[in-house]
Amino acid sequence: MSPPTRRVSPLSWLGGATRGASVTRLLLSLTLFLVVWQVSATYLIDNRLLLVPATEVAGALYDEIASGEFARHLGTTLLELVIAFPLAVVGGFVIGAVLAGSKPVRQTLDPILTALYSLPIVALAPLFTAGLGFGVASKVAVVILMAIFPVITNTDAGLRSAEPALIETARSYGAGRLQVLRTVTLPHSVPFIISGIRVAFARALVGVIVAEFFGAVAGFGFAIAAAAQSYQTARLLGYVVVLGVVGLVASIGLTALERRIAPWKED
Amino acid sequence: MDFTRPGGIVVDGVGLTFHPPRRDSVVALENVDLTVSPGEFVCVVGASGSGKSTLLRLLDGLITPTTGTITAGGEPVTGPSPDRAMVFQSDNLMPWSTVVDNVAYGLVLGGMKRARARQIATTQLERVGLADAARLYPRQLSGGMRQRVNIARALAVDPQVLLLDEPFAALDAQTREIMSAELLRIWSADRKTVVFITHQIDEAVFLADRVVVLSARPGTVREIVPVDFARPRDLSLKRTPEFGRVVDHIWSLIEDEVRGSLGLH
Ligand SMILES: Nc1ncnc2c1ncn2[C@@H]1O[C@H](COP(=O)(O)OP(=O)(O)O)[C@@H](O)[C@H]1O
Ligand SMILES: [Mg+2]
Repeated sequence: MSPPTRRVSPLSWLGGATRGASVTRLLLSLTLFLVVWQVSATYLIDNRLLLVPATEVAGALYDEIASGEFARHLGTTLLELVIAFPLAVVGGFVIGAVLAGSKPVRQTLDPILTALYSLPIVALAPLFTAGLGFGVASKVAVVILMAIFPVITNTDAGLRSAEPALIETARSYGAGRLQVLRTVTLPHSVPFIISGIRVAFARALVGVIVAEFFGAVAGFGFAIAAAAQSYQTARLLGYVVVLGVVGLVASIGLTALERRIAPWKED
Repeated sequence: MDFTRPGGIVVDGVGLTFHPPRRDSVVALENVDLTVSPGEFVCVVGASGSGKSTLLRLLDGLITPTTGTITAGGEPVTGPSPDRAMVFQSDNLMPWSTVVDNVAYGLVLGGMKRARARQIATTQLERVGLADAARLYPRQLSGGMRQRVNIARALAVDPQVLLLDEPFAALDAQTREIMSAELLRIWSADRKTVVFITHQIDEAVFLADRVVVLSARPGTVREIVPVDFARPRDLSLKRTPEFGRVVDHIWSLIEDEVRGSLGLH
């Protein structure tokens, strides 16, 4: 008897794990978003300061790109992120590792770290602008402070939550302290650290934009603030859309990274 | 018998007291004497809490005795050694490593090149019938398969002594029977010394040359029961009256304690 040929319904294909399905899902949800936007802006909301149709936003964005303004703002914001974010990740990892390694240090610093993590750091953005100026430095400072805490917390949690049974197994095969770290504790903490980085990146984006609101000469935040002051809603939304795309790309990138370096995890 | 030869074990007057922080200390073992000959298959049974796992950790060198001495192959046990390999009850496979890398784990830790270690690991996987699973991750395997990987990892370092702590306890009854027969087949090929802990008395009698019965609180050797059934043994042995008599005898030795540990009298 030949195996029964199963008809795959389009819906169950869409729910599948293939690359084609996930690209299709992404395109579908983007299309849906654009349609809802266009319809609301054309027929539902006629306050043009609040919302303009997606097509107009695309036009405004095109003008920005053509004039070279887009590249200037993109360059500045990217530069700030490229300096600050790796520093936040590496610094957060080192501090998290120190906390995980020493109980007295952890217990002493825990209240301060908790307070700082829950503090809305962006409230300090005007302070950094005043202290460090309108240039890149004040943005770097805000981004580091925004992004570092989730990396610290997750590194610490990841390094301390390896199963004692696995550590004992490693020891029974002759592993010393460093080998336990390398073969058990660190691999165990990888998914924790990646989800810390994911949260950190979202916070870094908020940080860089808000810091640019409060005084800058270029950058997406600067462009958004400038557009708002001159009531150019289409231009403002153009930059917001780009930020959304950046967030989406970063998230997809981190998921791909996690698949690569932590392939043992179930999705 | 020369217990100072490779694979021989001498436990002499060993006691172990735990001092848990902020709790009363626990005398887990007291005055344990035991000798195991090279190539012997010894099972240890006893009520829950009688110190079986503690005894095995002592033999492996993961903990050191409070009193007394342990030697393996004539050398004092001062810590884990590649001469001994431990198989824990939960399979304790590294979830981030593939099956073949899990089996190669001890070899790579010991300094062997990864490619060579993987070759040896592959051979061991064939021995336990899992050659096809080499590239999978542990979570993709059934409980029985994971436990076979666990055993292959221990065999891969080619130890003189294999220490197993209730390795089949988490498996269903049928899988457990098959696995113990498999273990005997593997053991008979190169006759490593085996110390095997179980709470299944029939499993102990089926496998062992001698069954060590521990009494609880504090754990000490109650009796050592020789098991003389001819080898190779197959599962039909378990249905003979002689087998039942040995099982009944061991059960009578620990029944009171098992009842006691349940609060029954
Ligand atoms: N790390 C430990 N700290 C304190 N007490 C322990 C520790 N390990 C085991 N014990 C105690 O020692 C006794 C023997 O434990 P164990 O060797 O695990 O027994 P078994 O394996 O026979 O069930 C038990 O009372 C147990 O609670
Ligand atoms: Mg136990």
